[in-house]
Amino acid sequence: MLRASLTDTDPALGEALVAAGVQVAVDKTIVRGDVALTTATEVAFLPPMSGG
Amino acid sequence: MIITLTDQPFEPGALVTAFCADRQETGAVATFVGLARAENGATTALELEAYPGFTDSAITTIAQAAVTRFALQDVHIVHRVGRIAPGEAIVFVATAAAHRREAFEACDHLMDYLKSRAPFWKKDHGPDGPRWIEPTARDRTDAQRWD
Repeated sequence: MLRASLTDTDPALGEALVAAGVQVAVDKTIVRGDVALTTATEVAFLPPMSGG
Repeated sequence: MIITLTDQPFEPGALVTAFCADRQETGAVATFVGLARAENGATTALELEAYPGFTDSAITTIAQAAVTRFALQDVHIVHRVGRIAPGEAIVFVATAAAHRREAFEACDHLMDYLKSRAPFWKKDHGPDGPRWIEPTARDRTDAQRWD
């Protein structure tokens, strides 16, 4: 739902959010698939990581 | 155990001195310092981005696992974020153990994991403009040695 709503607002952003290697973190924990955001305070879309 | 992300240059020697101070039961301290390379002019600066609260917690998890696995007495990791000039230190790892093998191996292990599994986003700035960097195949196989 969040991704769909962001895509409605900004289609280019929506496309970037589903690009290969993009992971999602809810309250700083990586999640996979759909997650209920009822108590969540922060959602991050993480592009492919580089390492240190 | 101390894990620090900083946007300020640091002096590795001072960190080693502090890490070695006041140890009665430590027989071995191993350290590693990673520096930014100029790549013969191809890199004018590196830019590292972390996700505060996420990156540091991931590194803490990696370090805690290393403490258990290698029976470490202590670990200190300092990682730069922000813009880093060639020649500057990017990363410092120090491990303390009773004996040298554990200290060496843990330091090697921590660097392999930091290089390929720590959540950083790294951009290379050069004459041809910025370029995002991903871990190399070598970085990944180095880390797999410990799986």
